[in-house]
Amino acid sequence: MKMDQNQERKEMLEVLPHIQRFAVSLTRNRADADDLLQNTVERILKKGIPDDADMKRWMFRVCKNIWIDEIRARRVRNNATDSGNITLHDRPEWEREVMGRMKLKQVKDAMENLPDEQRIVLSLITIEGFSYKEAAEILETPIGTIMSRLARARRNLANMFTPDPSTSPYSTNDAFRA
Amino acid sequence: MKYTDEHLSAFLDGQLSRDKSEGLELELSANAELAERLASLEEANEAVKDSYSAELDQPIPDHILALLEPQVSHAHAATNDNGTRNVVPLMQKRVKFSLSKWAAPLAASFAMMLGLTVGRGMTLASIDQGALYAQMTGVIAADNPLFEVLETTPSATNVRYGKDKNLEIKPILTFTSNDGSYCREFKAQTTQSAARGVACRDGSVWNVLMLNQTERSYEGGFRTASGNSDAVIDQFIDGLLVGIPLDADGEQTLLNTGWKK
Repeated sequence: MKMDQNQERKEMLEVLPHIQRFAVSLTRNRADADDLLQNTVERILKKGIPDDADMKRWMFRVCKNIWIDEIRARRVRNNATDSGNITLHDRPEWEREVMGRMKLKQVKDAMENLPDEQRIVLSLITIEGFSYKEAAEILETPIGTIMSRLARARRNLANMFTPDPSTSPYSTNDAFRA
Repeated sequence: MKYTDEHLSAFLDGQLSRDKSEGLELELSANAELAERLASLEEANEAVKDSYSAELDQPIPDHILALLEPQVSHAHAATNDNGTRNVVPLMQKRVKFSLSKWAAPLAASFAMMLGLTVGRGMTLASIDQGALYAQMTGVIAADNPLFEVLETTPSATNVRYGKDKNLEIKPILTFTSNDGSYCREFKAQTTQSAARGVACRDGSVWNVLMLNQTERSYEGGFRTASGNSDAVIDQFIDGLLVGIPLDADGEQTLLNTGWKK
């Protein structure tokens, strides 16, 4: 059944903070994140969503596609892929202490160094809490690919967090492989 | 069995099959290196999760929220039964506190309210009741039953209106807002539905800044139309309120003096 227009807008508003966070994790640049968020909303308002689609998953899919097809491409054209000027919002002191050696800047730097494909999967599953099946649906990718990208993203991050990689017992061979 | 990072990663997410999970748990208890590999993945995972958690509270830019402003349907706009004015949009009054954190849920609540007539399959009878609620939005002047209640009735006192006395309005709380005006939380209900709102006194009228429509559940009693809508009103009041709500004596003084400061 076709969703009422205001109901559709209400559902979009509820998902919007998550899409904004996803956009930040993808773009690492506040201006691009805003562009991506706006384009996502405009695209869905213009084209609607399929009757049987889940709004949240659909918004993530549209957002990812716009990032890959348009905004990332534009940045590449402008030779500004690694502008990396995002500032993650500050956290209470006690939380920062709990994070121990994994300081915010370290995480931010590490995320920036992940290939897009790994960062997207990590963002959907670790940050947004989607299941493998849901992430596979959003990315239109087999679950096996999701699992391998996720494992590589986590391993790459773990290796980057290790102060001296030569002391790590783990292989870094697959670092930065999508 | 040799366990790869893929196995460990899936184990972290609880997405490994039961057999493999049990086998891995057994191996972890005996293999310190494997346990350390798992710990390093988990640590990286948690660091990412923590680092982005605060992002969820960041304000959505106004120009993007504006794209999702609710569309008022003609059917609903015409439900005001005095026929002299359409529904007045809420939030007419300029409030001084920051809406940034709550902008999305507030807008969602507003959208929910406006979409109610067409969105929830209400009957003709309930649309009639909706007409009563249409009178409870925006500016509330002396010709409105809600005005009399807000102006003269102590909190926690029910006042009944209507031919069959089926409209019941009850002030809940009185407080001072951060722009110095007096505000009241109130509830209203009929046999069909209920609403909870916040109104602030502005000159000689009251302004309803937020109205959250609710409806009767099949189990009896009333429930809110969306799961977090009560929380949204609570947050709204928290943002508006200065100090603590007035006690009964303070409120009575205002009622006696016509809300003179």
